[in-house]
Amino acid sequence: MAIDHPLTLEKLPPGESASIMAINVDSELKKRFFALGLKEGVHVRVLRRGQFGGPLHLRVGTSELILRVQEASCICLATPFVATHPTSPSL
Amino acid sequence: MKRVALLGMPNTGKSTLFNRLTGAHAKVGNWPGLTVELLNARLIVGDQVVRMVDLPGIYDLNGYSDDERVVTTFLNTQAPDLIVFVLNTSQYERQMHLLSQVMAKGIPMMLVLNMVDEASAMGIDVDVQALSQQLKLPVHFVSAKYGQGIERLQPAMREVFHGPVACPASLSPSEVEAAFHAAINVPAQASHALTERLDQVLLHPVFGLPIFFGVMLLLFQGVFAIGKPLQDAATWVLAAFRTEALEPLLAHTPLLLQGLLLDGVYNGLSTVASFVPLIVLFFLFMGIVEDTGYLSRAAFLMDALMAKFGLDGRSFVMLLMGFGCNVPALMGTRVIRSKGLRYLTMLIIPFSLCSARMQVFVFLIAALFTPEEAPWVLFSLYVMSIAMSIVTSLIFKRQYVNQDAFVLEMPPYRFPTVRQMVLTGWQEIRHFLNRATRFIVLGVVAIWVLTNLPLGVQPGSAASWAGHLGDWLQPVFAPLGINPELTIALLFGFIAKEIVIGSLAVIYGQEGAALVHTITQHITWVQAYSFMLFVLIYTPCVSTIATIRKETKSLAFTALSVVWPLGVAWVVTWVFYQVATWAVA
Repeated sequence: MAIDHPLTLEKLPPGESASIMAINVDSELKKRFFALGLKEGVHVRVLRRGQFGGPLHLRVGTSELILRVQEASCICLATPFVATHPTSPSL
Repeated sequence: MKRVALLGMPNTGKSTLFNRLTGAHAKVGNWPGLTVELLNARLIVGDQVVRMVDLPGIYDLNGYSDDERVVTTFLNTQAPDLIVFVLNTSQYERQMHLLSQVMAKGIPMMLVLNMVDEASAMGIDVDVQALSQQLKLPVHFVSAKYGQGIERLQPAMREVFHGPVACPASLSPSEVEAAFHAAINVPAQASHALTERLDQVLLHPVFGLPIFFGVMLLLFQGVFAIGKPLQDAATWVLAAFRTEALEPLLAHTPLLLQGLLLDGVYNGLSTVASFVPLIVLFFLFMGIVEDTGYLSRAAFLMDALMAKFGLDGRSFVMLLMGFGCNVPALMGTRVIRSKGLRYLTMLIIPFSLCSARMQVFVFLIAALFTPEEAPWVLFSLYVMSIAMSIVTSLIFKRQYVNQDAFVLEMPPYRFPTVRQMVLTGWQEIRHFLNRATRFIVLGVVAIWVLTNLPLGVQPGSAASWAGHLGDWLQPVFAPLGINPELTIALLFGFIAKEIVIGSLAVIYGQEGAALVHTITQHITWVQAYSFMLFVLIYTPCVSTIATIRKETKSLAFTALSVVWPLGVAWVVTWVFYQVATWAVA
């Protein structure tokens, strides 16, 4: 369900952007992410995905970076477009 | 002497600025984490000489990676008198937190906003005065690459040294952030338009990889198309120098000394030297690829494939860099934080067909194969080089497990300036002269002694010391088709691969066209290919071993990195030689 399976970065299709809600990685990696611009509250855009399960090519602010799918799955996004209304038929 | 340290995140242009200011030749490229050693050079600031240190780029002052530890240890043990903090202007948002960390160190500071050329192309507007007032730091706006604003830095440093010692104000990260936001104006849609367009083609889901391999192939083709005539010209000039100048000059010296100087030192050295144009060209082309930022794209394109071998995109880039020289590639693995992945990458880098081995192959291929066959033979050796890396990583990936996250900056495409290209070329010539004086002369002299003593023997014959040594090792090398003369070349090639061709010149007592002719008389193409396979796979050189030892501080791993390639070299060469002789017969 929407609440049990929050939208994570690796599910964001190329060309889409969303804001980062939470980053669930160890503190050391979190520091590295932070230094590359990946932090809670910022907008991240998926520019493209590598072939054969390759990494994501992202833009955060004016920087671009590449990130493997595995790490991207630790980044939760705010989901403004997903229906979370209680009367939604999907719930 | 006062000390100034350059500090900042990776790929912000610290080394470019360092070279600009000091006239030094630090290696630069568009790849995060290229500076791995603490380079330092003297710089005149007003009336005094100061020492400037180029620190490796770091992301966080409290990080635990090797390069971050190098920087923190440096700051804690030998605090500089001034830190010049270099920041990529268009990426200030993610770089200012490091600035506030460094400001808290309480060391006098100066802020350099670099890459003004890129920032203004993106429409980014900076109020330097306001920023300087808010941060209470001297702030300068420069382009280290194009030299813009550089002339203001030395006077500014002088002011810092002559004024009262002023430690930076202790501002909180949010105060630093506020200062930047107030002074810098970024348009809503700031991006590198050219980079975006290029990436659409170069990172294309279908054509991206074929384009990458096409570019690499073109690079090699270009090197040989331009380099081969230059090499031939160099060979001719060096041979003419011997007959026209050296031989008359040494005509009256004792025969033995004449032999040592002409057939030993000069033949050996000149054979190696004739390859300098080819090598310089090779590094120049590789340097252009590196400067443009295409390597990060290669990492993106290859990551999924490399993951199957327990490696990642960065390992692939290090393998590519290894095609130039294995030593900087080994040091470049410092950006990898997982010990497993770093060791695995270091284990496979020595299989990268470096430029020194390329010389041996170009030389032997030209001697024993037709011009039509030559490119394919060389290509097959590159394929073998990559195959050995893959096989090794598949075997060892369970011992050296990759636990590192793969996250990498993708810098915008940048175009190298003529100045940078000239610097790269000059660096390679210096690098060669350095190796020539340290290893190559020693190596060829030792070989001359071995092949010409005891006194009175036919040089290089079975009666010479070299002959005895080669014969003694024949049980090991005969099954590979490697004769006693080639065995001697292999033994000394352990020191540096350039010695291999130098030593062939000494062993056969000839240079240039005559040497090529003699070699074709002595060995078959199967033997030559066997020899090349062995040279490709076995231990590259003592510098590589020393670097592995220094980087890992592990004797066991260093031993593995020597023994494993030796074993693989013997087995692969044996299989090739046995099959090929059976097939040819």
